[in-house]
Amino acid sequence: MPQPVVTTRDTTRATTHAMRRARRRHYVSESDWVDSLYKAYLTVLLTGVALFYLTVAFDGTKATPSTVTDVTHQGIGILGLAVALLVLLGLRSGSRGGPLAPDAADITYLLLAPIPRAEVLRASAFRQLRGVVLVPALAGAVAGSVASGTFGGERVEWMAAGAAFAVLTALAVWGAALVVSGTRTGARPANAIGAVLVAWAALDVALGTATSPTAQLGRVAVLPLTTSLLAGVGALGALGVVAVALAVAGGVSLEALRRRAHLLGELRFAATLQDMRSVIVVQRELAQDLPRSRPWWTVGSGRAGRAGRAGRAESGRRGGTNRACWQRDWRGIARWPVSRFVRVVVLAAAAGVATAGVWHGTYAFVVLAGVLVYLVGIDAAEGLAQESDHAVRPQQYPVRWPDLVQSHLFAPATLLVVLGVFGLVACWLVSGSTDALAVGAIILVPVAIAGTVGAALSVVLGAPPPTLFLDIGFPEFTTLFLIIRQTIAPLVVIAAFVPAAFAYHAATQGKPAAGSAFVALLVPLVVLAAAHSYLRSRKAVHS
Amino acid sequence: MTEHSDAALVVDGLTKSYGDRVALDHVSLEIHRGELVALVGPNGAGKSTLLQLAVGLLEPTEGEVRIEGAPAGDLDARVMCAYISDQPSLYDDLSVNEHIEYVARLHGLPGRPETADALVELLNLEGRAHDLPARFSRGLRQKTSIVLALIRPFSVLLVDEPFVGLDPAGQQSLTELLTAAREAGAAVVVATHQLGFLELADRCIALRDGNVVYDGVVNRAVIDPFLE
Repeated sequence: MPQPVVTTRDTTRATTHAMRRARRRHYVSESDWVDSLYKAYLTVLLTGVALFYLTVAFDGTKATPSTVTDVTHQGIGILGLAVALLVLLGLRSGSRGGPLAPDAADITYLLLAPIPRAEVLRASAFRQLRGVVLVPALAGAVAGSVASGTFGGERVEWMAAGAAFAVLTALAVWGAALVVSGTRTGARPANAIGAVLVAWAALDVALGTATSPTAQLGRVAVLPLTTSLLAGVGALGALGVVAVALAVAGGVSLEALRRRAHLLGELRFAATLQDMRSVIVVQRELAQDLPRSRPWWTVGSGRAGRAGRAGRAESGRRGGTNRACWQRDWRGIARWPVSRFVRVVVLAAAAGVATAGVWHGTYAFVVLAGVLVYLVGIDAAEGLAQESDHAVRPQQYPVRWPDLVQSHLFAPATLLVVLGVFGLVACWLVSGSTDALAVGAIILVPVAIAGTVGAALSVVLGAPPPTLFLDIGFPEFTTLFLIIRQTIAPLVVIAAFVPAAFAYHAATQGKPAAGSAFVALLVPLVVLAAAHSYLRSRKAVHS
Repeated sequence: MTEHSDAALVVDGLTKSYGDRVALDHVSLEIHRGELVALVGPNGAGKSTLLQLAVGLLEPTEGEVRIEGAPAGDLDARVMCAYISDQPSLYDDLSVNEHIEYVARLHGLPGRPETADALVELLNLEGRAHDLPARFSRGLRQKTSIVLALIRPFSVLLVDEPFVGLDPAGQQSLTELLTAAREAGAAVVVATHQLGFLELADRCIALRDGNVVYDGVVNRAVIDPFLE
């Protein structure tokens, strides 16, 4: 019988370092340097374009002294609320397994080996920290640079404050997730803690105060406007959360790690293939955002059987297909978990807030609003996506694929109209303008249809085929083609918000906003007609 | 609880639930050293769940598993317990030899263990020892994971559907390795659908709907009805 041999800390460290060196060596030897250079070139190019666009889009007007005063007083609370919402997401993620996600092989060989598991997990957490810090630091610095154009002051100061705020926020969110997973805190207490933080931060916003823990982090972002020792308290708080997270990292459940490792492997594969649908499905599994076994309400009870029989009898006719798909789609929606309902309502409301941003003269918010509604559409068009997931099944229906696609659009479009009401209310509350409300009401239905059609386009396009290089004839344009392929669906939805921008522009010229919005509806209608005829032109799933 | 049991593997009142679904329902059993046990049952019976609980990959809802007296998943249990998964996990960017070296060092073995070469040869992996497993077939990946599980000393060997994807020669080699482990005094538990393997087992445990429905000597006439 073997005698227990526990590998020492030093040996463990040396062994894992040697393993990582070997893996890196193989990675480098397998990599094509031309390909790597091309990727770097693309990254620099796209980052440059994004920076230029952001600067142009948000660098429009200089803030007046009264605006600066408002931002100083209310901005801290609003930023605190944003941080609290992110921390809530972190806490929820932590209760489902947390941020650590080792390779599946690491679980089999490293975490099942007779070595101190806490050491391994802590080292893994330290390595992850680099990634957690890097991207927010860059994004925060860019945001700071843009803010300096509006609020004045030293650009370097703003960039430093923006980077510090983003990094500390990311650390707080990541740390909160790891603390919850390391201490194996359940979903309910984690949600409760998050809800308290959000409620406190929301109260701050309502009362114009900045007393919540997350508001102290918000103070870091506005340091160029007003210095406060409490910003240091916020920073120390975030770092304290990280310290606790690293201390408890060893307690993360192996079962949760294994589940996440498996799903992240699938996610990486789907992302490599640029298969949006698979990415979404795996992300839902990661978030444990799964259908309920019992629906919230029954759809077509009593009539369901009749409709089903009728559907079969007139299977070749459009009416039967429409009815069957309508019922099937609502049955799917009736099984959504609470979290998905909350998500789509929040996204719809956020799209409304973004539209209010357009009404304040920042046209770039058209893009944000479009992307948010596109995300809602992706959730709403689940019925169609399922047909696409199981490609063999639709081929056995006595229904043409274009008709099936079209029949699956009615339920999500209706749902998006209902959700749009939340957006409309949010837009009105934030803008405080009845003109904005009227314009919102005018674009409500086109936006709902665009959200559905955009999501349907994503589903129908699927992952790029492996023969893409051959299909398009010009391999040099493959990257460009891929970018267009990924952005075309959100662009359809963004187009639906263009009338809001036209209406605001008209209002600033003293012309009727609602009339301009009506005229500008031509833009989304043309885009929708084109998208719809493209959807109708598809002969089969992913063909 | 059998505090003073001489069994290598003790399962006591083990229950595993996923929400409303009970995958394993108050299962209790003991596996002794030098015993080769076949764990059988239809799909979804709880075989893999039982093995994953025993190795510490899953956490029990109720009850416990002990490996040589240590709770499953604890450091001392990990020293004693080797596991071959039904889904071989390998690093795509480490060669077979580098895998061996790495796993051996993690288990505190000085240098490349002598058993490694014999295992590589027996499983016909010599020609692939320097290759990366990224493009390996399912069978080659399975063979590599078998080598990695067996290069270190153990007293309990848990094996989940090991024959899937293996060629006939590989299946034969694996059978030899499993019986050799029994001869060396290890407690060996093999979850399998290969009923031919039952002939080699000392004992058969049949699971159905998360319950032990048979535990005794291998008798096909008695066992077969439980597998339907």
